[in-house]
Amino acid sequence: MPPERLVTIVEDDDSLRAALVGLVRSLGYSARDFASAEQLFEECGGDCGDCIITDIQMPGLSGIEMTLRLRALGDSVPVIMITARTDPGLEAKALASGALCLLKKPFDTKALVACLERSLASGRSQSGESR
Amino acid sequence: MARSEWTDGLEILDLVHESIFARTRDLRITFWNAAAEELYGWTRDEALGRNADDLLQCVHPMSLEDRESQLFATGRWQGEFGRRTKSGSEILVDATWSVRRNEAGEPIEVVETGRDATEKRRDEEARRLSEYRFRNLFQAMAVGFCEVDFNGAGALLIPLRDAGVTDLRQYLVEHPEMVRKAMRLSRILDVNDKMLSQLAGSSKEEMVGSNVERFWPEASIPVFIDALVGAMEKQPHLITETRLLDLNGEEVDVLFTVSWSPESRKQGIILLGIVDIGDRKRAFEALAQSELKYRDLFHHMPLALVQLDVSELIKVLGRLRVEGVSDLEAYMDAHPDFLGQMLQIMRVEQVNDHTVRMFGGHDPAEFVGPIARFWQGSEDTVRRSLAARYAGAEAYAEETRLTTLDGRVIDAFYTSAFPKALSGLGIGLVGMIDIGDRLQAERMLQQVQADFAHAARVATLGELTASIAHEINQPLAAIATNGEASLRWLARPEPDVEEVKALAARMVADARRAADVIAQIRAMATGQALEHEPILVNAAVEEALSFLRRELQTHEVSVEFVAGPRLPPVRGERTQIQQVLVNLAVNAIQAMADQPVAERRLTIRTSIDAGGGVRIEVDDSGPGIPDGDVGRLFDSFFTTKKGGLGIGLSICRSIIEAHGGRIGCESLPAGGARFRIILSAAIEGEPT
Repeated sequence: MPPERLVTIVEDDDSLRAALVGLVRSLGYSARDFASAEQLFEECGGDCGDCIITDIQMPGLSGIEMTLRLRALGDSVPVIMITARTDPGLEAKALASGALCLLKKPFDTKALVACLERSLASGRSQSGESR
Repeated sequence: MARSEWTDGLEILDLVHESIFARTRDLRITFWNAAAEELYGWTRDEALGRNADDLLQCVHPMSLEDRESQLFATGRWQGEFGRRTKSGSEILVDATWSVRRNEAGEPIEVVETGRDATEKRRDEEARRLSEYRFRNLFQAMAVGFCEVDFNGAGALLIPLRDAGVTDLRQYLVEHPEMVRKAMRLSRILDVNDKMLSQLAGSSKEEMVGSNVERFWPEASIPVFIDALVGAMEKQPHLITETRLLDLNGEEVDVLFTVSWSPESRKQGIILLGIVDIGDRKRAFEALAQSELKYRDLFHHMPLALVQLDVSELIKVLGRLRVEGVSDLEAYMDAHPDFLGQMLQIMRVEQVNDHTVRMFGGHDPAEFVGPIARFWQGSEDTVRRSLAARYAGAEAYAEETRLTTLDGRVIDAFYTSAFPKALSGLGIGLVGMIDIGDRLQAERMLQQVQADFAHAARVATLGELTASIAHEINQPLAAIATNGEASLRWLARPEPDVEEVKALAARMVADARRAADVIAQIRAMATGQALEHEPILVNAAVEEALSFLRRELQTHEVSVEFVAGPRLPPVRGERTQIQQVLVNLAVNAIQAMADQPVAERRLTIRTSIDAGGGVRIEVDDSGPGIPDGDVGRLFDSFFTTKKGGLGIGLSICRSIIEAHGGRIGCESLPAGGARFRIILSAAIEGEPT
């Protein structure tokens, strides 16, 4: 049994956040969730999980801004971004900020799962590797 | 030199005006008086002893012998000599000879008295010619003339002066019976055809020989008094307007003239002339009327009128033309100060009341002066007007901005007229209409259009999609995620049913949430608690079409609006009805996108519905509606458009149904689609 992976979910919409938590757990991972990027920085200190699933549009810090800040702090945690918007430059911006994938709502859940598996495989393990 | 015995008493002969000289039988001059000196230029000393014929170079058709024999026979001879004076002038002398005899009765000397007949002859010639001309003129003149024998009147008045009357006019004013008497004593000697016709006569006999009294109405007595006074005071002429009576007793307006030449005065004859000015008076009255009308018009026209003095401008332009300038615009480019100078020399002369009000003044006098101050910032308009004038146009107009007396800038439609007829008088005319209101209304309309376009965009698919997407995508994503999770749980060897139950419950909740969002949007689109007003459908359609104008133009769709007459007003919210129309129109435009340009036709028809309401039909020439879709078109989320969400038409239906109306669609047999809206008429007296 691989060590339990922690997936962090950042989503301001309550029901979607709950659904994402449910999906992550149905995949056998553990999940923690935050309603905003600010809450994440407040509560998870330097270690925010093996993978982050974040919405881009949120009141306050956007998902992209959050990722940029994480990277600036030296955290290379894989980030999956989901968005309801269809701006042309958004995808480029998201990927440039360090996101592994960008999914558009309503997203194909299978794609989300595949992305998640990939990011957890490439990312660092919970234990051991220092950043 | 023989001295004659004519020495005593001869001094008298130096005083007479006629030239007297005496000569012997052999023509030697023995006597020569002062008048002879004057007439012939030779002094006495020069003349005495000289041969008369040589000295004077006499010329006469008769021989001397014949003349003398006549003289000796009758004692008298008279004739005219052509002679030459000392200075060489040729003169004509009217000579009378008498003979001096000795005691034996033999003639020894001839005495001649002579008068210079040259002037007389010339005068006579002139008089004859003048008389001839006069007669002809008298007859032919367009002025009526008559000769009046004034002697009788004169005889009446002279004693007055002798009796001590110093102010003849006053006397006559106080004694009108004297005036009438004078009239009766003035006899018409001759009258020309013109006067006859002026006084409605047909033959001279009607006037010649009668007196002038019948032609003078009471009111014109003062003029006759002037004529009498003028005659007595020896004025040369009198000219005045007055009113006379013709032979029928009808009044005639005339210019009345009296002339007294020295000649005719001696004879007591005066020449009266009359010019019928009835026509002229009528013309003047008409002109005065017209002038009044012009004044009236000028001042009361509901547009601003200005009369300019452009006499200096015309001179300047005239000089430029002489210098060969053909293109005034080019000249103004080369001489940048020119326009400014023209703005100084063109002057306001008069403005009407409307101008005073429009320009914030109180008195037309405030406007007089150079036009420059009204054109601050808009001098280009004047520039173009001058160029037009120079090129030969008679008018120029354009929308421009003018500065008022109180410093405001107003939008005006400016027209300037410079017909050639007025240019000669140095007059320019300007008319202005304040279009500020119109422009403001246009700006407001543009703003409303922008607002409405924005609202229409929000109501149409594009904008709505963005907001809907966000609102709906959340629950949809949640539902999908929950569903996926459920499947995974169920796929496990040991499904976690509780988990799945929880997930299912959440999915239901999410779906409900999505439904709520839709309801919310519908509510937003239909607008709760908006004011309902009676709508004039044709006006609403026209407004919607004007907002769509650009869209229609961009997509090259031709539009026809067949407005039904006498539609009843419909109760509702005009903007919402227009949103529906705009939505339908946009759909139609999109439907026709693949049609050739000539085949893109949008037709909107309004008419009274069978049920008494208003029926609106929006037809397009697109591909029409497939049979299977007709019933479903207004369903939520139904769309035949690629990438469309199918919200627009369902919202349209909500709006129409909220108005108590119906909306439907059908394919047209000739091709294309028809969307039909029926709205019920507003009931009179229903509260809004």
